[in-house]
Amino acid sequence: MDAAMQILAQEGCIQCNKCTFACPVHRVDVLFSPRKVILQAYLGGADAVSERDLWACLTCGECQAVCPTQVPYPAFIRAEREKLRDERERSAPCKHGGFKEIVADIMARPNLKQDRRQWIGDGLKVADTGDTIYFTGCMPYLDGIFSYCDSAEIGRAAIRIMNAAGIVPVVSNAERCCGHDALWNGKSATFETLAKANARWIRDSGAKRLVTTCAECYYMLAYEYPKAVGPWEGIEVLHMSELIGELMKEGRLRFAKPVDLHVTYQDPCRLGRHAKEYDAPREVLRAIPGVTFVEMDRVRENAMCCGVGAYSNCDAQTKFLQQERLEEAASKADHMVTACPHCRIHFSCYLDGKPVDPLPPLKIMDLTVLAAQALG
Amino acid sequence: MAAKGITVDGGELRGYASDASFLTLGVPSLIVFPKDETECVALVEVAVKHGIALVPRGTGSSTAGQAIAPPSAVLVDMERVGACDARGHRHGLFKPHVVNAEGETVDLAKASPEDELYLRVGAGRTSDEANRALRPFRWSVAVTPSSGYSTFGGNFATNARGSGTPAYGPFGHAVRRIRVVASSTEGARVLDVTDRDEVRRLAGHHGLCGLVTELDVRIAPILQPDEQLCAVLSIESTDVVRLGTTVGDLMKRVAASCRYYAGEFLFIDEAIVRPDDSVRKDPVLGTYFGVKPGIRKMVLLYRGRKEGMASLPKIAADFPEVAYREIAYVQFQAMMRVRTAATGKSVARVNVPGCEDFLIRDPAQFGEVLGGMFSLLAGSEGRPVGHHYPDGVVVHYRPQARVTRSEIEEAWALNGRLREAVLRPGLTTEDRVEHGLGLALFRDAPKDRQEELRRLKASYDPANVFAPHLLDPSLQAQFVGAQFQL
Repeated sequence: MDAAMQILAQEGCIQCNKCTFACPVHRVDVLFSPRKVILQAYLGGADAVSERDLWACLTCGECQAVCPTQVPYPAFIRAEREKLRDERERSAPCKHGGFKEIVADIMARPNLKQDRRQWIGDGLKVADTGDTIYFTGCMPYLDGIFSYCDSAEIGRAAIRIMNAAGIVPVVSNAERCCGHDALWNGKSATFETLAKANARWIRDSGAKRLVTTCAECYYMLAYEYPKAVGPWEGIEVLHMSELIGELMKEGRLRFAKPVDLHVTYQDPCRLGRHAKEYDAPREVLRAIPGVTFVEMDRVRENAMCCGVGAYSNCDAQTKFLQQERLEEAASKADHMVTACPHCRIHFSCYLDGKPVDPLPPLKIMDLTVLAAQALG
Repeated sequence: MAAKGITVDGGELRGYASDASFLTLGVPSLIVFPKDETECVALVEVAVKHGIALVPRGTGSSTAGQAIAPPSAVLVDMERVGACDARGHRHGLFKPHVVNAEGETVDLAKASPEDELYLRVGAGRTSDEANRALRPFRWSVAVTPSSGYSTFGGNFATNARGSGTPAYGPFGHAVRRIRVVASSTEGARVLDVTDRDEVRRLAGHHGLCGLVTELDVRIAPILQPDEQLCAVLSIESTDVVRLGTTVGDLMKRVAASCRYYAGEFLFIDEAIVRPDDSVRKDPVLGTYFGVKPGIRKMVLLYRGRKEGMASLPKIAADFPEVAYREIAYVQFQAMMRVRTAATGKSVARVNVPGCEDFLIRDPAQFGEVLGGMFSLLAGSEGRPVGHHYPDGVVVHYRPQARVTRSEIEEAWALNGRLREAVLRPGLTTEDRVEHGLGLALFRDAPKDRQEELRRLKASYDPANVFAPHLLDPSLQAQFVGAQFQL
């Protein structure tokens, strides 16, 4: 039995179809069904999965979250992509996914030279060594293509918050892409190269904490790196929302300036369902004076994905998903806050284009940026 | 169909060759996904005109095979019917349309908990979705089979039971009205069935009588924490006959003196939840998941209004072998998640459905049935689970096998031996009240029910386009076991 089928057989699928009803892709494409793919695999082996089924899956984990027997469908798809990537043509990969793939491939090269600090700007303090590393992920490169999203703004906000609490974080030129998209799109060799390179400089740095503003980086560093490069002995991985919560509790950070906004919160799949961190971002939102926080109808483990996973696919149906989620958000608030730069990019990308139907005014905002505004 | 704008798939259809029964009759010729009544009418007209058999399917979560189609038939997936937004996409959020017992629209925000109310809902909706829409008003669906993920149309087609059945009866008893696209000799007819007796006769129609597009489904107020009692009763023993007899005696007394919404049982073993499952970390619930070698441990779960459950602690106290504990509703829900998955939960195993869903009318015989089951199950994996309804105990069992053909075939053989051991007149009935009889409908259903279904079919489907294959009992023999390529 191959690796993909082993994953599928770990937990017994009872064909109840709950996965399919929960699947956001199924809602707009009735022929897309995780349950159908599993049955096909049982009947004819895992290779029966079609090109569409292989790449349209968001790996968001909504299916696994509702599965009575917890069949790890996203892990199955990941293993299938690893196995079938070279033999299955991808008819419509996301163009931005192509850009991200090239960036990851470049970063996997030996003797890479980078300047990863250009975006920081004046007045913010970073260090070459120290206890806390700010793992920026691909953020410094995103503004080159996603012009409608000032992604570096997130990084500046993170440093500003850390500086306000007396932390001067390490921002290293040795950092590489975390390898998230490579791993989830079936390029495990690229992922392993990146993971090894990152693990080497992080361990050599002597730092005790790794902080990231990206849900994908957080999930990778906290959950996938220990499997790939061994446990982080004495190094703690934190999402920025967790660090902010900790600094508030210790009295090292105080939000003094009211930010009068009506907000709702988009749970990023990698931070929520994959890493089970639902509360820290909400605690930050509730701590900011002036913010009125309203939950959407589908939250936490039932939260709807932003519509794109690992940049593997983005098509007309993705747009319908994004429209549905943004309508839900707009019915509750005028700002949708998220804790993942990629959720922000995907929703902003949609709003920058031509929405399927008219939407009420809605802004997409990063949690760290919002928190920094409250520093005064 | 495509010309009429109906979604169809004539391509890769292997994934529709079976359902949760893991039985197959082969690959259907086409699968159709109508989204509303208009498309259902168009579909039936084409089917009548060309003499094509239609096999309606809700979620396809039945374990009895009524939702699988033979190669010559068209599988009709009803999950989108009445569940799509204006763009034609299945949408999980909707605003509830509620009616009273006379069918008049009611403002749920102004309703009293004493009111008899019904949710008017598309056949493709599920209890999960309906409950999300009803929760802000503090109401929920009264009878929830399959823990919420099957469609209302499917629940009606099998007359399923589930949580709420002890108080409200099987699903069909909780339905006030259905709308159905039936056939005529010329084409399609849309019928609004409001006669309660007729609705109850049609409940369990297995798709034979038409495409149900809309239902009025009974709803009930959500109980506040201080209004309800949730309890776990546990018992362990090396002697499973004695264990079953004790629990059977307890169940008889509970049925006689308690009014409850849910009564469930399960056997606990190491594989029932994963080692990292959060339920193991609960300081109270975690204690139920340790089992000593050679010991059988059964857990019973009851939930009901406090006043209806007042005698439960006293009954439990009369059984010294039984440990009684009251738990919070959230803990009850956590245990129900374990119970839901318990039928099929396994680690590195697949489930092999077959001998399941049989009814013990007299709980005093529970010990004898369990003794017979466990003597055959020695060395095999899987666990009996089930429901305690006021009219008896429903037992489910699925053998589990490693993913090898020899083990799967062995599990199928075990199913056969199990049927012989426990399905005896006077002891148990395989009426499958839980999941429907499926392919075995015209083999195993009581003769009077078979005649009633034939009469209903002749009346609602004179063109005989809806699931005609179910009338053929010989299909029951066509299990799929050896065809799985595992």
